[in-house]
Amino acid sequence: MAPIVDGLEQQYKGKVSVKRINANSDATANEFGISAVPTYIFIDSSGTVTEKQVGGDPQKLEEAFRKAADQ
Amino acid sequence: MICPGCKAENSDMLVNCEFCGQPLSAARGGEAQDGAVERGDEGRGQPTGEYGPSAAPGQGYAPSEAPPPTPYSYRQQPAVPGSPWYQKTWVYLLAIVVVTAVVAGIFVSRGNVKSYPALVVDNNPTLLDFYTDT
Repeated sequence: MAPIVDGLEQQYKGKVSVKRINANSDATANEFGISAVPTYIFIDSSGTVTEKQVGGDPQKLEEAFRKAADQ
Repeated sequence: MICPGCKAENSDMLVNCEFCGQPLSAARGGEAQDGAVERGDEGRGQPTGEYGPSAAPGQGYAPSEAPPPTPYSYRQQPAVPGSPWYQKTWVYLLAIVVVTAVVAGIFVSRGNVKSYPALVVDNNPTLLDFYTDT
């Protein structure tokens, strides 16, 4: 999924940012209760969670990018 | 007309009390005993001429004016066991409690929404990509 995420990051550059978090070492993973990888969580520009996806589904991920870019 | 049973006020046209169903004949008879005359009976076939020049003899009934509404007729009806739900106080109290609970629930749920502004990158919507290196 990493290449797909990289491609979407380039496609939506300036509209949607990507922050990569190591689920094993970062305390943020515990805060979000991450139990499976990959997990994708979208937050809006105020920091509120808008969507959570567990597992790699390129179509769902692209749709989430599109919705986030429209915000 | 006042019902002799539940003391509720009823229309003069009713035969039975609309609240308790008791016949109103007792109340009607009581009025008659006090000297009251049934509506429309006065002057029947006995024109007296006291209603003015237009009331010619032999024309029958004299026009009777509708009684003006009195404050007494607007008083709250007594609650009886057969009254509809919208006349019961507890219905409105329950509605107020339910609406208050819903509004309070909305405010509480909004207050529990966590926000993570420290994770926002470049003030854009941000994807948090949780990965593992093992």
